Amino acid sequence: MTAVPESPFPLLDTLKRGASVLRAAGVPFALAGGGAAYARGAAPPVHDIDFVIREADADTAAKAFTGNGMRVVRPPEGWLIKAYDGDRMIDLIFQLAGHLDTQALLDRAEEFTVAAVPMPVLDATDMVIAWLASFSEHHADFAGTLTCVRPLREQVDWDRVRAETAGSPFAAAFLLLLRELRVLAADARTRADGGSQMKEDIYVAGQIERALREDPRTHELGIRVEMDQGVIVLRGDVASGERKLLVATVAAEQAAGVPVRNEVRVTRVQPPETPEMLPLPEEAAPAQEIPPPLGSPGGAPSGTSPGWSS
Amino acid sequence: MIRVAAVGDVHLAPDVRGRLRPHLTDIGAHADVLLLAGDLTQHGTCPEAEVVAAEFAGLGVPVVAVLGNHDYHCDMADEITALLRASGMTVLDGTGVELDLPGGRLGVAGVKGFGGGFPSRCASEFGEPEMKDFVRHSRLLAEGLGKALRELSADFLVALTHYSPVPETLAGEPLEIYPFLGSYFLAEAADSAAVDLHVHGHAHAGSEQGVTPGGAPVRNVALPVLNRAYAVYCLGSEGPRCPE
Repeated sequence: MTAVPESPFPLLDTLKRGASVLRAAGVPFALAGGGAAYARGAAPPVHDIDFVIREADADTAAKAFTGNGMRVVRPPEGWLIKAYDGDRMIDLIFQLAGHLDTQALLDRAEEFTVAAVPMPVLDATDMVIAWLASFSEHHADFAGTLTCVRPLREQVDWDRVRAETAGSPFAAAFLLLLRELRVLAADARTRADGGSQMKEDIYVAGQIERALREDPRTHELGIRVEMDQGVIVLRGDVASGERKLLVATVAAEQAAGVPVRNEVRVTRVQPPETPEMLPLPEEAAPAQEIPPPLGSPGGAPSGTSPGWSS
Repeated sequence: MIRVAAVGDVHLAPDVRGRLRPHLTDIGAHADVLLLAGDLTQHGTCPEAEVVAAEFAGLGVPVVAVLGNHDYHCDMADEITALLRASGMTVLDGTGVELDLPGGRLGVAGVKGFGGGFPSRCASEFGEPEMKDFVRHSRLLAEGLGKALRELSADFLVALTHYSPVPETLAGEPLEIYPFLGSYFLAEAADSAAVDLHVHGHAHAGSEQGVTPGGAPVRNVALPVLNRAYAVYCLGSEGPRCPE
């Protein structure tokens, strides 16, 4: 083997080795993770190298890496195998977070030249979906992902990201962060001047309201949709927590990438209270010229309604 | 005295099966009758109506219901009505029922009702056919309610609708949607028979208490307004009303 001068980014050598092993073994693959972000303009990877392969090719790939003198480990997670290039790690992933169809991922991958080696690299939108879908209660540190997403922002179809991560509150939070940080400023929606922005907002809000009423998953008539500083706010009441989540999902599909804040309330069902005696004593039902103000819950009944008679 | 329990807008479906049941099993200790003010289902399907039937079955008190707009969505209103009736529930649709209860004879007439709004801010049968149809639907339903109420012979009369007869019980809803939440035709019908109580639902963000121009108490019993399984109204706490 020819001696190669020590690279300032040793993981790139591992990246090249991994790609060439897979290519030589005839295993279809695409560069993913930090390596793919690097290929698309982000800083060089620092942790490990990720490739996406099909589960059916896992054994072939494992054999090829072993044959090239690398140690292969099959961790209990079941959705990847690991190969070690010395102390540097390569993840061969066959079930990427947020994606059910690995073949579709490979089909959408584009050829890039990475460290002078041409190879397929995951679609930028697919990468962002995978990162956002992997956030959870125990993995919610946005810093690393933020660093990777910033340089990619104009390569990403944010509407698709929004739609495909709609069920995840963590993804919603990350998208809100991107918007607040103006990372999504290149987005046509935010570039528009105030007037047309307002027009867009009103139409988006109207579209969401109609969807919530007419979509067979929801049929919720009592949800109000309002724009609040670039965030769509949902308010109203539904019968269960499950229906509250569905409302957010349907709204997000119509939201065209605008973050959605779900303030919908789940109606409580408490035991009945003391009965009310009817008719009311006279003094409790005074004639009144002005109706109780809007929003006054359970305002005292007035004796007559102003301005109309039967 | 008759104790009338009422709730509306329970929006039942298999995902919320048994939502009210724990609070209903002892209803006989608190009430003589249970009124359901429409929107019994979420999407208006028969499987949902089966959940409704199971929720309110075998309570030991008569259950009287009207359907709401949600119950009409899948064009299955007739099937839902039949299913609920088969479970023992009385479903009113421009009709009335007389119930002999320990505290006296209670007459309930009910109809879904419809929108159109309230005087000085209401729609009328003018212009496009769609507009005329809208208002006519509301008027005819209300006229059916009035007729059914006037034909009842009872110690106490209750009107049961889904839509609101008065604007006061809508307080809390945006003013702009009042014409979609009720119609004064319903109050007119209730007052034509001098009801003792008018119960309705539909306005989730509204208020519980109102009164018709004729002085009848109106109660919005939509579950999100009550936040409890049902409200109880005692009629005749000052003795039975005098026949006119």
